[in-house]
Amino acid sequence: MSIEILPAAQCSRTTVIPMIKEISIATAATTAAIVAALAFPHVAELYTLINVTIFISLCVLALSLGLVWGYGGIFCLGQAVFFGLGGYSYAIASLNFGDTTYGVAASLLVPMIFAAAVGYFIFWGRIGDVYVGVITLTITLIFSQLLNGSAGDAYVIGSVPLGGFNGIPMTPPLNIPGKAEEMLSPEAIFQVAILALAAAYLVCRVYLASKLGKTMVAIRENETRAELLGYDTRVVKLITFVIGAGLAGAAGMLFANSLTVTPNMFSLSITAQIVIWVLIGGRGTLLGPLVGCIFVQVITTQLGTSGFLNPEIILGGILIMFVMFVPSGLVPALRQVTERLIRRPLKWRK
Amino acid sequence: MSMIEVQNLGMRFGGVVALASVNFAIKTKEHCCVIGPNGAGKSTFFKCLTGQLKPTDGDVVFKGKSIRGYQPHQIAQMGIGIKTQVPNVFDGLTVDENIQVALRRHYSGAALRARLDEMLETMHLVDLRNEIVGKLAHGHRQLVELAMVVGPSPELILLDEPAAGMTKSESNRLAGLIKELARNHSVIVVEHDMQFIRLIGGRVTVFNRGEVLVDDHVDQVLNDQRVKNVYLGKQAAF
Repeated sequence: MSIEILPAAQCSRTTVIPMIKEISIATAATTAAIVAALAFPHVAELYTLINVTIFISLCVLALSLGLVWGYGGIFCLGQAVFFGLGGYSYAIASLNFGDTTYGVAASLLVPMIFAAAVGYFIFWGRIGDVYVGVITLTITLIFSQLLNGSAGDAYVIGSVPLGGFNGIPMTPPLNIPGKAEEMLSPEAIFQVAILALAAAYLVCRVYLASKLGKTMVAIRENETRAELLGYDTRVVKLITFVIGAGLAGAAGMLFANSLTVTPNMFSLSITAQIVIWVLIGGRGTLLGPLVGCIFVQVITTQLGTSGFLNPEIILGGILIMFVMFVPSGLVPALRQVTERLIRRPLKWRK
Repeated sequence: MSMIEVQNLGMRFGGVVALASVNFAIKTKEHCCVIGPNGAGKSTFFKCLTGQLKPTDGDVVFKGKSIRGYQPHQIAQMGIGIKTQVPNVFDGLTVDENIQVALRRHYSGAALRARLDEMLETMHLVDLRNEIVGKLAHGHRQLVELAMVVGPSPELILLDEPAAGMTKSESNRLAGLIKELARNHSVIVVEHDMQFIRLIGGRVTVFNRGEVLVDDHVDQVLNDQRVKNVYLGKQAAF
């Protein structure tokens, strides 16, 4: 066997086709996002517009766990912490500096820095999969308790009181960068949310197509083998964890623009919902968490409005049904069905 | 100069002694087979060399530098590649993707694709390149892992039972490949199959109860009474 490098070979179909697919999906998603951002505010009522903006922020949150857990294999139950930190950082920085530009930066940086610190101890400490879930869940509970008990004059950051159970009700909406007095309308905030979702999707897609992203998927498949090939798996996992925290922080910032920032953002209910979105939509896809989030949120909102049935009981039932009958999730299952339908006529022709 | 030198290597798991003061060395471009009954410490020995286990005693010196306490990825980056006893591959990825992950740290662009094609041809995996590795037969999974280990061209190649689950023709081809590899690399092979050991030839080190029992040429080793006793279980009578 020769060990030296052979001359350049043709690029294989297996490499090119997924690349084309990735690019076309990204292009289609971006185009759809732009069209929706331009058209929807003109046809929707204000209540619907705000509700959809909230859904979009939750989609970004779902995407963050879709990347960290679905592709990175890191079972993180702390996305709600990063989501809450994003919301609180946005509110506190915006109110203290009088300009939401600082708030937006803080909503990304604070969760990412916190994730880097937590992730360092988790990944350098070689903490196993299940224990990562336990640790991150514990952190979520600590934050929830801490912020619920933050009422009173003692809990103030700069000039902003944390407000305990009530949170920070005076969170300002986004303003044009550098122009604090020019606040965005709900229509414009919706458009920003759509663009943020498209940007979050593209960040994930670009990361997955990069060397680092491909290594992350390999680590999910077999961490020992990746290490024996010379990859420092701790660094790759930490980078994935931090990117996921940044996305969750951005989701928190968008959420804070539509609803009040409260300790509920750190709640067990949100923690569980994010996992359910990803499970129902499908792990190992980027579209799955988005579909799962919209599917679950629409059902629970409709049931909650009708008051006919307890949404949480229905949600539990749906989850059990999916785990039993569609374990791979909606998007992978639909993809399999579509592929079979496409292949069937070809077999018949043969 | 030795490629790797193991000095008084010891590994204990509580009260169980897996390796007891092992001394071993292999030169550049030399190949050696390690044999021994089950529980002799062969796989533990490999795990100590690759940093998967931290030895309780002794030292491992690779190209004149102690690597004791190094992380597995650091040791791999220094130039030690290992094929483990049970195929250690990325089950959810295709054959192509598995080998690409292994090559990506060393090659890029056209050079990567060329090396990938070369590995696929060498291991006779061209027809399976788009198959998910988790769905392949054991022998094919072994070949995928071999391609991943050999592809980046590490200076020291450790192969733990590489012929397990392979057909006779595949084993013969593998023996030829190992001899070919040994022209430019140092290779240590752990194996149970004596016919395969004969095919590879050269030096053989026999492990027993965590110690080196015999270290000699294959012909001498396979005729050694102590080795026969160990393999036939007569040693218990002494």
